Amino acid sequence: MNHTLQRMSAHTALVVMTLVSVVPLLWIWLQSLRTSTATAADPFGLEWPLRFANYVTAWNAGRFSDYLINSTVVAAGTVALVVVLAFPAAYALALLDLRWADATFLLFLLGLMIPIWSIVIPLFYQLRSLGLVNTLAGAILIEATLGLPFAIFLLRANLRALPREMIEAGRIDGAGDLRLMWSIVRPLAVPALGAIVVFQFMTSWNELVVPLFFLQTDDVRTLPIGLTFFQGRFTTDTAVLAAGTTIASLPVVIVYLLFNRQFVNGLTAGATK
Amino acid sequence: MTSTAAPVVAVTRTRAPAPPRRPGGRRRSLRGYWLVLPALALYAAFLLWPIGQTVWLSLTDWNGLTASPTWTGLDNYRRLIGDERFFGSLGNNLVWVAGSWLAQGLGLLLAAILSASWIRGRTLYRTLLFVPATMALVIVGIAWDQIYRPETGLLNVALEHAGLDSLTRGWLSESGTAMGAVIATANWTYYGFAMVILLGGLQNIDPHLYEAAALDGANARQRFRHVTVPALRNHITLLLVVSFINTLKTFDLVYVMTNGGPGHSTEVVAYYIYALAFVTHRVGYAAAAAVVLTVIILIITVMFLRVRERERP
Repeated sequence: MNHTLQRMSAHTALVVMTLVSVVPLLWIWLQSLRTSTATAADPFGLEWPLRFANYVTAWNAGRFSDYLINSTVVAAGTVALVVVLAFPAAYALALLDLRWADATFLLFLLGLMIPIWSIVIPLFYQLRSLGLVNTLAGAILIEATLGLPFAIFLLRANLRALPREMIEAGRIDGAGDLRLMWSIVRPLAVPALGAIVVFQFMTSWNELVVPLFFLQTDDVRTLPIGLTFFQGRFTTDTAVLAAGTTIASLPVVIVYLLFNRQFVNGLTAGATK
Repeated sequence: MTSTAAPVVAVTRTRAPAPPRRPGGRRRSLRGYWLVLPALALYAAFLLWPIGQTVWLSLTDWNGLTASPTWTGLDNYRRLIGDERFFGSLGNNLVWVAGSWLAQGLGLLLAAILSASWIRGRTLYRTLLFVPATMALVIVGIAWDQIYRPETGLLNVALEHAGLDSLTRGWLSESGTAMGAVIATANWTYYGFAMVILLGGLQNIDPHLYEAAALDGANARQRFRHVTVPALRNHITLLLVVSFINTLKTFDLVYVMTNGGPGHSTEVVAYYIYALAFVTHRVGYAAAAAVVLTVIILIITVMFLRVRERERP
């Protein structure tokens, strides 16, 4: 009897927490298909026909197409730059007998601990003098810099586990570093590279602080910062605000459900290393 | 996570065992540095150099507009020691840390339940429980801001339906509840992450340990207490420290949900720095606060690394 009771309470806890996890999002998505007045009258209801007009209003007023394009460009650019810079660096630090390799690695590790608040003030003036404020390129450079330490850390940890004999064999066959990196090390590092791509893309996609300071005009805003302005304009029109929130949240949930394993691996990468 | 953002900061031991030196291999050289240099150049230009600049700015008085900062030595730091608003915001960070440990505990509980052999639909539960952890904090903040609204929000309406009208309130507009409401929102994004990390750790536990414990007459709670928790100790420490450090940097939810208010009741250090530098234009003073925050994070990280070094076999 005690046994059954235990199982029942465990199952109840599981179901309750699952509801807590999904109901808030589902509720917002439902509000986006109603009118604000209907929501005010009965927040639990749902009227037919569904009001897809909220999405038209949100899409047109919110410049969401611009935000989505900007977010994609910044996230993809950051991922590309991080991989292109971090992979050779991690290869050299892990597999070549570099002098001061440990010191250089520690210098990069320092970046994992630095809060953005300790660089953002001078960085703003620095980027302004370079003419990179309010350009997507400026945001990419900063976000890639912030992403480098983690990428180098994760890749180096993975590359160190590779059998050195393979590298040696390649070298004896006359392959240079670039050739070794591309033909021997890269195929073996695919899982780690995949995790970095997912992790960096999501970090950049969700980033608020960098665009808050460095992307201040409407034509370069990314989704999160664009959404905060959208929130300011539609505080009272809850239905349109919910539609905007849905436009921003639904794609991520769909991608997550489709690529569950890669997604989870990417987001939790390194936390257990 | 992001800011994570998705909340991941990797903390590792710094000294992995050195790879065996190849007999007759080349001497350690500088030749391979051309592969490191591009990364190092970007890192130096956009991270190391600005840190140096921030330290320098923290020794000056500057409004960010006039031609050049005025050197004031340690004045900013002296003022910081007597700044109640700074310590208030730091206190809010610590309350947030303590609150986030509830979510880690919840994650542990969920992981333990999900790893039980008789659970059906494990993958579905795990997938849905992790959904909040995939969301941008900005989106989470805006969504929960709607949920907390006094008249139309889900929370108050649910309380009314349950006959608990006396509990309804403006969750984010009253200074008594605002901090708790923001932390609860943050926790909503934390427990799924903790659960996945701990599930990974649970897979490594030898099932024989449970069998042996069961043979010795241990019930489920005792097995959890004496087999599961000790085996997960490394994972748990790591989660606590990572959430500690991430919580010290937290900004997004406060920016989206409360702007530090009402009063300064939900202000955290990062938000105070932001307000100093970009709202009231006390750039030098903001830099000093940022330096102090960085030093606190460095100290905690180093302490954690030393403990881990000592505990490694």
